[in-house]
Amino acid sequence: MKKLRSTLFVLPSFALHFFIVTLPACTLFYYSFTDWNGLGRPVFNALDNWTRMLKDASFHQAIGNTLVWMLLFLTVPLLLGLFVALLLTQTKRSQMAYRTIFFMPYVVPAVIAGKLFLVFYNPFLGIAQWFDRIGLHALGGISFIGNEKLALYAVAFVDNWHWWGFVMVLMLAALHQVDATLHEAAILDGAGRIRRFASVTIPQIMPTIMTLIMFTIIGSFLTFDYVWIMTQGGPAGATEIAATYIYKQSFLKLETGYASSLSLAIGLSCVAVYLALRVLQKRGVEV
Amino acid sequence: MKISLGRISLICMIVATTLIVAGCTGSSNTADLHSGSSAPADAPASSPQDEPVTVTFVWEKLTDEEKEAWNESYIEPFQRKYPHIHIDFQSVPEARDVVKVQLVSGQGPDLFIMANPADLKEYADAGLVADLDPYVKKYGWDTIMFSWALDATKVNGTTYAVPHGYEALLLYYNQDIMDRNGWQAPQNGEQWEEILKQAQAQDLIPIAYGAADPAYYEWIIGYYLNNFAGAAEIKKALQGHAKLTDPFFQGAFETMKQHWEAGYISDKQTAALSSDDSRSLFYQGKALFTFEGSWLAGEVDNIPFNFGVGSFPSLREGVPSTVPIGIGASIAINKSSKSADAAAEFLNFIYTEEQRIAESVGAGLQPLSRTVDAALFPDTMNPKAVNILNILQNTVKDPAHVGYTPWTFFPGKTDQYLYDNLNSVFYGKISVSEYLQGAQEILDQDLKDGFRFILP
Repeated sequence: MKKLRSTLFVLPSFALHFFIVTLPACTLFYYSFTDWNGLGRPVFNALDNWTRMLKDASFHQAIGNTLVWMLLFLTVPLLLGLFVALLLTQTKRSQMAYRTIFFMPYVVPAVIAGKLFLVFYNPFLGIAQWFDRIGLHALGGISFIGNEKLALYAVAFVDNWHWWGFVMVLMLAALHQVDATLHEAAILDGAGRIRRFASVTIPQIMPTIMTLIMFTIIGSFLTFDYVWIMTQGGPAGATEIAATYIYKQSFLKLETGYASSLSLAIGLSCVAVYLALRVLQKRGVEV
Repeated sequence: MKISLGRISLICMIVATTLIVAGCTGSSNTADLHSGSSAPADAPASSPQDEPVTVTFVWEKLTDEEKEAWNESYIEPFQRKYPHIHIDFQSVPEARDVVKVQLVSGQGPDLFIMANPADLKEYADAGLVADLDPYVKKYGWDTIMFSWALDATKVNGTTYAVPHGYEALLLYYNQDIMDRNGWQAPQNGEQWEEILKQAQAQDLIPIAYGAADPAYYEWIIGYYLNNFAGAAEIKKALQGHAKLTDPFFQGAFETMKQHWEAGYISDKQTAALSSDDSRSLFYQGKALFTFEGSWLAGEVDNIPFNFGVGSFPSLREGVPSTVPIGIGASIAINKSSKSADAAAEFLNFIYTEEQRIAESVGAGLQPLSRTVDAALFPDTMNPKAVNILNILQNTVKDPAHVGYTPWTFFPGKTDQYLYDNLNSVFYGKISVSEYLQGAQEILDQDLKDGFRFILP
């Protein structure tokens, strides 16, 4: 009876998830093998979508950009967050103030942050003009969004600005959990700061780092808001990432069948990455 | 009987689960919320309904002023005349996507905006929009609305929507700067390039134009194609009698690219500017020209200087200066609507009284796709706005200078390919030839899929 009751307590949330997430997600398998515009009847087209995916240069560009995006987020916010968190562990009185300040961008909605930075990036009214006015003429002509070589980094900068404070708070929490006696033992063994950081701190906060890496990898495939708000994937596909490309296929080009196959491919990749990381994590714990 | 807290919780959980399942599976009761039913509405009833009926009408996101104008111009007067019909007017962000999902699930509003008439074929093929031909016949809409506009809402000869506002692509310029420099509005390609060059030499932005959302490239494509290739060539290509790879089209895009590379068009920053940004640059007097349309009539009070407006100059000898026209949106009736007759009654109402339409334009709404006597516009209207509307009305009467806006007359996928890939041409990722080759392949498929170009 007790077991049944606990199962029934879970049932509402399971039902919600099943009908809103699981069931629609399962239909993706079917639609990925159809020619469907999202309006009429889907027509089975076997592997057409999948062979098209292999030849679709724009999709490959989007995947390439997604990987660049992922690399940026696997390095900049993690390193910055860890570095600042380490500094903050040394401060006592002002730590809360710093934490609040650094965390603040995280609570700014993406649409507001994106629009705000578009004003800064405006080539005629933004910071480029400000550079020009203070005599930095070389930077005066810079176009953050209009230059296809810079655009992806310009958008990623905004998302990093939003994200790194959250990473820092998680790192700080993890650093606070590190057993102080391990450091004391290492000091007695003659370990210096760097050795203690590498051999004590990092292994101790590794579960947090692995979780953040997993979030980042999966999140990179799901990133949509900043790119859509700021560039819609442009110019000329320079900031196109997987999620914006799939959205365009489904909602703008009405190629929902093809978009389903792209989504499924991305989803399966995420599952593969997740499983690989779980294996690595387990091995790490064992070591 | 003693009931334990645990039992009460258990019962609550079962009820909650049942409610969630009922909500997700969609019961017929939800039809009340959406005014939809499974009854087909192909054949309208011959007499107006007397029992109370609600017509749900979904429009795109509007400002408070626009909503008020809609209510005062159309909704409230209609409900006074037909007290038994309640119009539930909803302004919905991303209306296209929201309505699409509702329609596919057999629900959705009775009336809804079709932002891009080029999408209509997909909706008609899927059986989601009602055949309006019986209403066209009943109310004589073909004698009221512009025939070219009504034709644009037909799929294989059947009317599936009615055109809403009509509009034209115009060229706006800062008259004060022109006067100060003794410049005249350009009439041909040479004059156009000369004035752009001179404006650039004065550190002005020759043309303020933003296309951060690439769909706005439809405007520049409209200007250059119509004024270089010409409306006649466009018509031939869209009917399959010419190719988009032909020299006229090649020339139009090469010229556009040259102007972009020369920095005349937003100093090559079109991808970094939104439409609002470019409008702002023009209003601040930083730009000489801006690409806009007749829709700017509702904005003239915000322009703090004397401005001129006219057609884009001819870019090739033998091609007249051409004003691309089109419809801004169309309105369709949900095929599942059980209030289709009342919805059609409302459509008829908004189209039939010239005075009311003129007043709605005075209140800032777009002119509907029919003739309206300019004398009926309210005296309070800014004369510059009246001038823009007169240009629009006169253009429609002058077929020799009428061109085609891509969003109205081009098949959807071809139109989308053209604006989506234009940055690739500007940024040198593909050549104009490759771009047009790709466009022609899409157009061939559109023609194969049954696209039929209808225009006088």
